[in-house]
Amino acid sequence: MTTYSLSWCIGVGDDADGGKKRSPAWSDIEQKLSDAWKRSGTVTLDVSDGPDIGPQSLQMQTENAQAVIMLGVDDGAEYEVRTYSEGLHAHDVEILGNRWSGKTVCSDLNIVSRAFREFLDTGDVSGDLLD
Amino acid sequence: MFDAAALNMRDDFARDLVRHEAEQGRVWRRQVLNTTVGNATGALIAGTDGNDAGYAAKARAALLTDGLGQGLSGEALDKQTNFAFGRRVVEPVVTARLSQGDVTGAKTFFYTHRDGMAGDDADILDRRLAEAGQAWNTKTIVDDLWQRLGPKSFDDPIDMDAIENDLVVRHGGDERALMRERDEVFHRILGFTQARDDTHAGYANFLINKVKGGASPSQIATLPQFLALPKDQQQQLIDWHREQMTDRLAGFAPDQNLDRMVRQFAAYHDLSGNDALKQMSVPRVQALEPVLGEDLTKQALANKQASPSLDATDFAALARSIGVDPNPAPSDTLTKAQLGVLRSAADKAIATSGTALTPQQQRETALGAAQTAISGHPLFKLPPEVQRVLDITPQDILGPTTSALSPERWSPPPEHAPQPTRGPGAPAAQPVRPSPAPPKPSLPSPSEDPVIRQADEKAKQLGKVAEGWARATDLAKDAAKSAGKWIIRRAPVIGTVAGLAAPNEIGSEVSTYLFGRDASDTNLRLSGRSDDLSRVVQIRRQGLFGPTWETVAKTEPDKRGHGSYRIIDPAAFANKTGLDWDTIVLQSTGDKPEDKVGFGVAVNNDEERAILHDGIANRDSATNIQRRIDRARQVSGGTTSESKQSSGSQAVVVSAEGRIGDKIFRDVNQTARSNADAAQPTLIAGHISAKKLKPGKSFPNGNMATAHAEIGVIHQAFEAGSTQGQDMTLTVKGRAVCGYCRGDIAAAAHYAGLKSLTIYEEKTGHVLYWEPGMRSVKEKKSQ
Repeated sequence: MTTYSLSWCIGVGDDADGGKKRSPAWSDIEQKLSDAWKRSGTVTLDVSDGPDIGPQSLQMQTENAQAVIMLGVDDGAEYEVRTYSEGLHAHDVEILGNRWSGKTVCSDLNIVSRAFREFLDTGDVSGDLLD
Repeated sequence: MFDAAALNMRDDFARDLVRHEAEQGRVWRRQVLNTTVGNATGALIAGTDGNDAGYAAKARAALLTDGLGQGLSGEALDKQTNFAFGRRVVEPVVTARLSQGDVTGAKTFFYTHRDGMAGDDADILDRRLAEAGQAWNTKTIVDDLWQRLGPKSFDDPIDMDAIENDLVVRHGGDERALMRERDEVFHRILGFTQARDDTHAGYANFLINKVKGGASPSQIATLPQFLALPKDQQQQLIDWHREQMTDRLAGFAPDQNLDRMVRQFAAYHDLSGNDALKQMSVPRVQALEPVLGEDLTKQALANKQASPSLDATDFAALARSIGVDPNPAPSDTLTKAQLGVLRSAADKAIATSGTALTPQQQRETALGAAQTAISGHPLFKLPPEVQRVLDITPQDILGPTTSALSPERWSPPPEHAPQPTRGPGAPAAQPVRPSPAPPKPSLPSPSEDPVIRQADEKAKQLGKVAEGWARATDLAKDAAKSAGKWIIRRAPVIGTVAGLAAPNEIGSEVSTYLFGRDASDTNLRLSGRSDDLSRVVQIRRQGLFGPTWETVAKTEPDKRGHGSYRIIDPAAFANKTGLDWDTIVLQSTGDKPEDKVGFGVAVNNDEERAILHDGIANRDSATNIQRRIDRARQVSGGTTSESKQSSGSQAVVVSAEGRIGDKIFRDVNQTARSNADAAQPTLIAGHISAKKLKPGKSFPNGNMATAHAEIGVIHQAFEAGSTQGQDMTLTVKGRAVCGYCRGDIAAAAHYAGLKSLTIYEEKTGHVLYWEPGMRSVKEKKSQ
């Protein structure tokens, strides 16, 4: 059975709090997503014990209630990243010191939560959400 | 778990698959797509033995076990199992069967297992199958029709009336079905005409080479390739052959770029002029790429998903205001192509306006975009906007008091500009400007020319020289963006362009050129993808079927294998073009088309020229050569290009520190980076540009403007020559390594030749690692 590893960095710069946890429950993930959404930061859910091919890692980077969601997928030949693409920003958005295409920036924590829940439950996130 | 079942299966693969699935507890889409469906294993998966004892049932059992292992029960267990079963098992198998055209098999599998899926997912899949069934029916009908009424050879005309009548007779009142069938017919006609045109172009090429090889007109006229050409092309060839025999026209090879562009835009117009696009599925639109080209296909896809653009009435009014007939004859491909250009520009402008526009705003936006698009487009007249930039002269920059100056008078004087050597049979040099250049008078050197000296003095007094050329560069870039074209401009003796090198004194021995995108109205272009290591330089010639492009020089990659290119045969290039390439190194400066601006390395004296030639000999990049020259200038007290580099202004959010032995390299997040040339490609620029970009998205890490701190560190270490065969540690502070960097760091480590890489995320405590062969960095299992 696939197991996951959760890691997080809540806050920005030297003041940030971080940590990790193996085999997290959904409530752990939900809490970290909520904390990061409020204070900025990153939340990463890695496949820690599972196949080498297929989705490997789901990550949210967020600042000011704007987030990029990245699903890293190893398809056996390349490592690809699937992202959210329904963002409404016409221009790039700066999140944690890097600029991201506005189309990939999500402003809805519910969508972020849905992606993490799907990843935890199924090992993948639907293409409708992250493509 | 499944060993006993596996022993009874009918082929080795099936056993391997089931063992694998037993271990993993899941079905991977790619494996199913690639290897399982359609063979014996497909039947096993489907559970066609009637007892539902196939793989699907066993996979479901495994998923159920997963849920129980997670402590789920009752409704929650059912919900998770149904969800996972639908997405891991049913949907991949249905998708795989559809991709193989097995609609019946897909439906059978779906209806057998839909009750075990989540309700929403089942509904979605049901709709997909219904659409696939319609598409299959359409294909079957049009297959039959095309076989009976379609052209049997390239010489056959397409009897549209007969095809339309047949469709109408058989559609039986189902208007939607009729629309789909028309769409399919349209698609096939486009494919047929393109194949026919490409074949004819190939024949023409073949015949032209025969002529060049000395074949007589009677020999040509009996060749099957000649006989297969349409009459008008035969006549063109005969005329050209006659001319060839009396005129020493330099050899050329027809280039179908313009013809292709006409076909692409005409097809785009046809596609946009009715509801065809909306009726087409996304894969169908994607399949039009050979007809529409990459850009217009992307746009068609975007249009399909966006709100409607101008309606037919507004678009017709727009076309008339531009001077294009909105209702061309079906055979008037050029006018249709022009309408396609207008439609494309309007669609793009409205789609990217970022806000919901009122109808009036839509009309205004579309008109503005269309006017911009036609200025400079090869399917319209010579672009006034491009011409304005091409014609920009120092008086535009320096003010009306220097109006006596002309562009030619600002060109390098013969004794200062190195002259190309010309072989005895070489064709005449092509003019740099798009319109034929008048013969240049013999000029005094700039410093001796009183008019230029006066301008020089005035410019210096006003401090406007650098500012003026920066403005010229911006104008040219803007024009390149808006016109979608290559622009070449000879920047006369006044420094470099693209803002990457410091302006030089008027009269210094420099010739520089500015490139934009595309090439249709100019005489010179670069060609090739950024990750293509055989980029070429071509000059324009008038060919049999319109303008053609002849390759005059090839380039080769710099020592990193990507990013920058230089001419490897400058003598041949100079011979053909009349341009001095000895002092030019080309480099693309960004990932986006509009950023692909070549720039020159300027040299002012023998010392700098020696640096340039040494850099070329060592296959160094333009950026590095310019830096070496800048350092030499610093020593001698001159100005450098460093002042032009970007300066970061934001706080450091993320920092990365790399160690190789006792060497330390540091970098920070994009917006805080201040010590790098933003346009400099990273060591993995080729890797990034090879990725397939989806609309609206962009990739980080291609150059130092977009690089994240981790890539910046590896890039620095690589530039310092410290990475080959080494172990590296990287500490990331401030946040976690992002999703993109997980893959890009692996690529960078590979390109840099590292032996291993260990990454410490300071805040999370995560330790990631990379070793040769890995496609991404991963968490260490021991954590």
